[in-house]
Amino acid sequence: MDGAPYLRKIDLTVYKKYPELMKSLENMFKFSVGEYFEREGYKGSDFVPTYEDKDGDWMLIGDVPWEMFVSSCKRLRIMKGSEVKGLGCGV
Amino acid sequence: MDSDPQGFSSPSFPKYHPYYPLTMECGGLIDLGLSLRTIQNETYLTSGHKHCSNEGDRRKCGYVKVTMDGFVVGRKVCVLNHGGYSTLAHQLEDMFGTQSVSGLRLFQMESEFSLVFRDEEGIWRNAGDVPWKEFVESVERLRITRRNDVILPF
Repeated sequence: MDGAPYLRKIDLTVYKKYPELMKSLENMFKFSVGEYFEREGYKGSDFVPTYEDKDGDWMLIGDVPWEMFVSSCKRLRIMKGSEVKGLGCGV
Repeated sequence: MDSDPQGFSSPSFPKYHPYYPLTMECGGLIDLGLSLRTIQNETYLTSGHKHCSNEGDRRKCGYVKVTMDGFVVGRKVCVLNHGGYSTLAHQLEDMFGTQSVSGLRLFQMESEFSLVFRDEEGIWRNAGDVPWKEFVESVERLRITRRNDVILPF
C-alpha cells in the first residue's frame, strides 16, 4: 500500500469473492476503499486497489470474475489517488 | 529447519500451541514462502470455470484489457456485453472519461482521443475501421490514445 512502511503477504485462495478480499485489505491497512461500480470504478475513497497481472500491467481490482482475477494476479497494490490520476487530469 | 525450531512455519502448526494468538494477529496467515502460482494451479484448474491465463484465452472469454495513455491503472471490459461500438464507447467514457476535462468522446470528429485495438495477429488498428463482429472476434487488447501521439508497437 502506498505510504505503508512495509509490505504484507496474503493468501488469495482463502477468499471466495471480492468483498471478502476488500474487507480484509481494509482491516489490514486501516483504510476504506469505497464502493465499486462496474463503470466508474471505486467511489468514495482516495485509494485505488490495483493488481499486477502476468503481463506486468496494473489493473483495477474487480472488473473480471473472481477466478480469473486470482489466476492472473501476481501482486496487489493499493494506490493513492494522486498516484493514479493521469497527466492533464481535470478532476 | 534450524531457523524455525518450533515449527511456526509448518503447515501442521497446531492451533492449541501457546503461540497461536500471535499468528492470529497476522490474520492467521503464515508466509510459507510459496509462490501463488504453485498453489493456484491445483486449486483452480479443477474449478470447472473457464479462466483465462493468457491473452489468446482472454479473447474467448470476451474480457480485454483497456489502457489509456498517461493513466497508470488499466481496466477490463467484456466486449461480448456490447452490441456495437457506441455502447462500448459509452462504457469507456464512464471508465476513463474523467481523465479528460472534455471527456473522451470516442469516434467523434472533434475528439482528441482515439480508440485502437490489437488484433490476434498483433497488429494495432483503429477501432471503428472494421465491422463490429470482426472487431469482437479479433480484438485482444484496447488502448485509448491521444490523436496526435504516434503509436509505438509493444
